[in-house]
Amino acid sequence: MQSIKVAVFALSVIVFFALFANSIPQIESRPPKEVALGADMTPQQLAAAGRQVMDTKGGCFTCHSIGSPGPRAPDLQGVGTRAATRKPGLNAEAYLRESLIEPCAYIVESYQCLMTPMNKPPVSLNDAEINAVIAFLESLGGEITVKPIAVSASSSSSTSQVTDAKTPPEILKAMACFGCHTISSVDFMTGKVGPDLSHISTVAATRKPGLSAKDYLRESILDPNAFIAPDCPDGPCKSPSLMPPIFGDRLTAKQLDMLVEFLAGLK
Amino acid sequence: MLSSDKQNWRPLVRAAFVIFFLLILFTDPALAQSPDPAYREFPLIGSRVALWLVAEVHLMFAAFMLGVPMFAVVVEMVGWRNKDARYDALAKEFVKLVVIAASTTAILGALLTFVLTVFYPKFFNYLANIFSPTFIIYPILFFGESFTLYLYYYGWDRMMEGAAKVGHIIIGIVLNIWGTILMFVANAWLTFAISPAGVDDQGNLVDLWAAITNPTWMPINVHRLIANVAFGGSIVAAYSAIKFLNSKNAEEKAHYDWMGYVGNFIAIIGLIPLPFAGYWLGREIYGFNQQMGITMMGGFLSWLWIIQALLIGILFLTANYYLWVGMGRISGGERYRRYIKYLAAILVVGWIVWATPHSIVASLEEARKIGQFHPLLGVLGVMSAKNTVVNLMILTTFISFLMYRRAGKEARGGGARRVKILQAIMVVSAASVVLFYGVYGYVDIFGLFGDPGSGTPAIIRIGFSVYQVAAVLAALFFVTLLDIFLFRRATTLGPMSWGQMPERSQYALVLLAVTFTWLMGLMGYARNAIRQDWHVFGILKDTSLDAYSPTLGFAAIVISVCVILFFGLIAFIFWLGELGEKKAKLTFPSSESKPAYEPAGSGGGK
Repeated sequence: MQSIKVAVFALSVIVFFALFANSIPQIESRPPKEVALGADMTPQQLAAAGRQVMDTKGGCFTCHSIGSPGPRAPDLQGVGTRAATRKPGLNAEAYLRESLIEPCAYIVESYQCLMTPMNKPPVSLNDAEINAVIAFLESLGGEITVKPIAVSASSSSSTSQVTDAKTPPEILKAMACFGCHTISSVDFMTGKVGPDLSHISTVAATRKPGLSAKDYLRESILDPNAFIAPDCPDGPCKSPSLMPPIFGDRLTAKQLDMLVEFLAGLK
Repeated sequence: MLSSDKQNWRPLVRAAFVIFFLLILFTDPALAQSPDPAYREFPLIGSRVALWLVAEVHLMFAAFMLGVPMFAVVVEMVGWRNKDARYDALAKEFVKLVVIAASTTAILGALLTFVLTVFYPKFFNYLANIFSPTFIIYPILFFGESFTLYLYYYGWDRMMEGAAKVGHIIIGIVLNIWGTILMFVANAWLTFAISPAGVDDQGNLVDLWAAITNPTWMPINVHRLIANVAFGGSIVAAYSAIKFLNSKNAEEKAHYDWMGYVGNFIAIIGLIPLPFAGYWLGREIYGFNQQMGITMMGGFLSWLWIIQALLIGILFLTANYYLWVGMGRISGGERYRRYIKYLAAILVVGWIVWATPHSIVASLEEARKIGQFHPLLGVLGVMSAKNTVVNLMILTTFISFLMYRRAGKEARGGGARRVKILQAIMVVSAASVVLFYGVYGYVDIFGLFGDPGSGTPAIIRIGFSVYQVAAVLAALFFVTLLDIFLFRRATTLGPMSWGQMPERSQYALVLLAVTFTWLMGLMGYARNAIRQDWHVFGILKDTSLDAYSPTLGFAAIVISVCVILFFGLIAFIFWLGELGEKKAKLTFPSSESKPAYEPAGSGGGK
């Protein structure tokens, strides 16, 4: 009987802790969303995007602030003007670029070098994002001189992100399959680079001897170079394949199965 | 005895195989079809929660297994030096619990490896590539530890006298060395994920030793060593409390009261330096990556420290409460009863300050009215205030312990009064240093770092905690040293009535163990959540669906399940351990008889 009383007591304590933890503000820490950047942005648009990058992926305002000096990092108010005078021979854009990539090259008085290079992990801003951040910093009291650049596939870290898509069309959309492939029964699948998949199941079983249609489709998603399809919209498909071999990392096993089932049903 | 222990682990081994088989059976069918996937999905609860449960429960068992032998060998040494068989028997009883828990710890360790390799193959492979030499050493260490543990326990009765006893103690020390190295190796894997070192920008291994001795390795080693002792002590105390409550006679009650007291004493000894070790770890995390440190203390995890404050407040109050109640069974303890209310007040005020959030603005409207921080409470929410109160709470607990220690004794000799005054000066001085730097953290009173009366710069303020900690540690050390000499030949005021403790005191021990275990789970979550969407911070990105840190509420539910699993399992295996055992005759006199016990640090006299 005593042991039961002790068990009930211990359980009550545990439940109390769980309830207490659920009664305080609940915040999830999600990976920052990618900010859309393009080579045709106006300086103001680029600066606005730079502010977004600083707010999200850059995490700059953890230490910096605008309008009040923080204990860990300098106030960014007016940095667009100051940047041009910090280091002889460096204009504002060059100084700001150096500060982002080599933060310890110049330490503002009364601060320590606590900042990590923004182009390296864990922050890993790509060149386009660095330019956008520079544009925003230049806009704080100075003139925006930096030019926008397009985000290349290799410079974007978003390629490694897994999606939480739950249906085949969601997966196709999240993986950007529409960029290359066409599926007539799916309205957004209108790509003209890779093979048309509208009736893929009719040929999938005969592509590789010994491989069933589903096995062929699974292999093609995971290892696009294992078999190069003969026909693409502009003629024979290119070898090596233009399709990146990244979907093994980006799809969960369940999503992969779902996608294979869906494609195998396209007659 | 041997045969019953063998029988204990056989069902567990079978159970582990069944669990593993089911785990494979119910895993996503694509498991065998996807070549080299980075992740696989665990059915129903998902891979992350599955790994979380197995890892946390394994860590709890491992902490118990590593912590208990550390103080068991010390208790054995005390018994050997004082020629007191009671300590020897107590140490053996401690180790018996470890032997019973050992196989479950190993099974959970194996299960953890299975879950990692099956559901997180990319992450596991990366760690294996970095740490492959340690993966060879680890099982050797594990075998060494297991064999030494069995030798230590089963050789106990054969090695009771003379040189054999010394040999037995050496075996106990070797057991702890194995265990400590084992933990240090495992900590290298864990801490590398938080603060990787010894690798290039692409994550390729450059220097294995640098990867092992990464920035958070030694702070975690020290923190875990101390925490294991405190945790082990609290679990032993809870075990004793349950046995006490179920005792049928005064003899059993006396024995388990004493055992519970020793367990609680060890838990407090471990609890006192833990905040300091935690502070060191925090500094190293900030030193490694400021953003990680800020995420931990001021980012989405900031509210975690409010939960931690609740738990640590409960630990301090409960540990003190047990000592205060315990003074009731010591003749002479009534002399100190009048001070308890003041000590309780300091602890409660300290607890309130510690639990004060930095920012409690609930809406934009409130923020416009009072600013980002509350005008009064905002001041109490920063580290200056929190460092100050935690140091004062430690000093208060130390005073409770001193009172308990002195309760049944009276120091003799003409110099006793002067020594007591000197001790009081040391304690008051330490408290003054703590308070002074606590206040100076806000206001530069003497203008040492700017204009007099201006705010003290943050970078200076952070460094003040070192002086506060140093003052408290110095007081703890020197006051204890003086106390040992002061009460070496003390007069005993009366017998210690072991077993005469109210039931509520035993529930305090259970509360202590549950809170310690839950706190361990919470800190495990904090340590992992600061990596956010990285498996290995800055090196290996988490690209799974779980590439985010869940809310504290969700974490609390998982932690609670871990704690329930741990206590359920440990209760079950302790029960199994007692099956088939003959009722051992307790070698302890009844509570009325004399001389009463004098466990380490107790106030009971001979």
